[in-house]
Amino acid sequence: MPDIETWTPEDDALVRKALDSLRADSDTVELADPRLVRARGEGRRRRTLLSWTAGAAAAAIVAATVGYAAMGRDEATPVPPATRTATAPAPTTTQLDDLLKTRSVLPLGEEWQRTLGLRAAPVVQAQPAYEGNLCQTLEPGTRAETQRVVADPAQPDETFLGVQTRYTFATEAMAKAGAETLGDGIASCAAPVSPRERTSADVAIAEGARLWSYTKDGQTGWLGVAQAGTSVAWLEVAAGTPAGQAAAEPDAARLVTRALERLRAYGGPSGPKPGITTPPPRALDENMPVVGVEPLIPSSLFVAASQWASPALSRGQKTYAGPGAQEGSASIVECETEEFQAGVGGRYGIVSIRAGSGDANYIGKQRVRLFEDVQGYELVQADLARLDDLIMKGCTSPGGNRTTAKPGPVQGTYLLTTAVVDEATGTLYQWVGVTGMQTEGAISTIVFHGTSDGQGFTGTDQEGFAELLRLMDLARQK
Amino acid sequence: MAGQGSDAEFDAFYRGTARRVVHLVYASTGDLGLAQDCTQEAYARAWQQWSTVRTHDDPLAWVRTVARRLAISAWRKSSGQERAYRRHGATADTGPPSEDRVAVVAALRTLSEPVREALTLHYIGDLSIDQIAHETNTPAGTVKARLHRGRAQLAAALRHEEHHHA
Repeated sequence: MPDIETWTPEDDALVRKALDSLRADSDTVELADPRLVRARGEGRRRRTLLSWTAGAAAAAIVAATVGYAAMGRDEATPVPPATRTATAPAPTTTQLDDLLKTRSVLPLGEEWQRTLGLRAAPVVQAQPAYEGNLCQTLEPGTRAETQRVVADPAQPDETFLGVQTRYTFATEAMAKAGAETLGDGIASCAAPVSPRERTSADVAIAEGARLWSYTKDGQTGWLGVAQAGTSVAWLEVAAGTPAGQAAAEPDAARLVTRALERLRAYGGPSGPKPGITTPPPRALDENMPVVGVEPLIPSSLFVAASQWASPALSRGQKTYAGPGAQEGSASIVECETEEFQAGVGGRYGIVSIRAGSGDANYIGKQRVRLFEDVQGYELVQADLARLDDLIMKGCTSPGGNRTTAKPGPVQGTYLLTTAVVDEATGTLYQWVGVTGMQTEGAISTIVFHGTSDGQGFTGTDQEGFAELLRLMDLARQK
Repeated sequence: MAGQGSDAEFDAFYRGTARRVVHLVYASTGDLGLAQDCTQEAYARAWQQWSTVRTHDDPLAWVRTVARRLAISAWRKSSGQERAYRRHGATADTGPPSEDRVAVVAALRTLSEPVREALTLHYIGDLSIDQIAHETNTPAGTVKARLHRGRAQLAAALRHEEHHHA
């Protein structure tokens, strides 16, 4: 080993040049959009590799006494009381069957509640920024959606319960291979946890679903993979969450089985679809006027105007697209402001739908926003989270109209109620659905309205959400 | 968390400094994907506490330290299996380094972690001995010794690599 005094100016120059040469590699790195970084900061939680390693980092930081001793540590946040009951009575078949009628490819919050025996239904929300899954070495197929499950959206890190991700494939055979790849990754995972597979000899689990247990800090967590048709679901029920006790094995198996059932029902081409009486319609393409920024988004990315028609929504009348959107405005939902929309980025287009022959009889609108960045998926997820935040906050217009929101049965669905006081009196209802689309980087917002004096949609809340889910299904196919 | 002014301020800070942090962490670990991810995570944490971090004399020092610590922890634990966790944006987005830079990375790996840390902070972070001492919570004399030793060791290793590939 060289003596510490033996370095020469040539050594210094050589070292400087060598280290500087690495800049060429780092310059090739594509830096994430700062909006994504901020979204990651806002939605950060402790479950990814970096979060696991951050635990070690934090320990080292705590040990330090001077300098930047407290950097990067999570700020202490009060932990809410446990949300899980000590024992989870098995849900009745009827309870779960009823829920399966609600369209969603991944399990609903209520299904997490009932299968795991939680005291309240957790919130299933779009992951603001995809951070990877525990023990997942590869991403097979196309990542269609990633959702996190939290007991309290105001404290997602502290009340994190799990995550669910869905992948889609061109064929069923590819989906099977994809599920095997995910399973192989979990089986060979040695760190930071070593999952152990639970088979049908250990617990009741349906064919097509697999379950692994892992232990962290003395608590048990679960990883699950389910495949049906051309879709694969990945689930994690977190261990050691301060929000509740660890889930029991039969509970975790029930949740993965429910994920499998949802894939069979809504996850793409496959065999029978238990519990579903009518298959979702196939989305059509129609030539329609699109209002928005140039270059205009093609109308093929919008739900065909004729497919808006239904007995409930258009009262049996035919539906047409018309130039109903305001030029230069990207807002179609109460509480959206131009300022908010301007900060989102991407191209957008709006198609307005009217029913019957009247020129002014507009019943709804669809906005498609297209992020053409390389991180289109992440931008869509960030936009979903941003819209959720915006809509759920409610707002008061300058004229004093107060709008409040309640979430619908599926993530991204809302019913907005506006108490109108400025130009008239009454109540305006808006059913709003926000969803990612098959086209990478595309996000769709669908809205239709009704009023307390019988204009627009006049069905019940439940019927309104059913119509909304139907339109969202069509939008997702685009 | 913060208003629009803070958004713009943070975005400008991130755009102006992030690449330097990637470079530093890359040199510390030899793993570009890890450097990219740790850098993003460090800035995400900075944003989480931006109202505090922005008031520091040197917010970049805060981010740099968090990124290095995240990377070092990951690096210590790192195995082929764990690396695969960082799949999105890491290996797919970054091409392979040139043979020269592979040699530099290989040479850096012959150094101990504290020595590598001192060298990268000095040569890439442009920090003085006193600044490194403060940032790493290490006596200045120790930092000086590490720099001396590291400089000589790395130069020797680079020459060895050069000779080996010649």
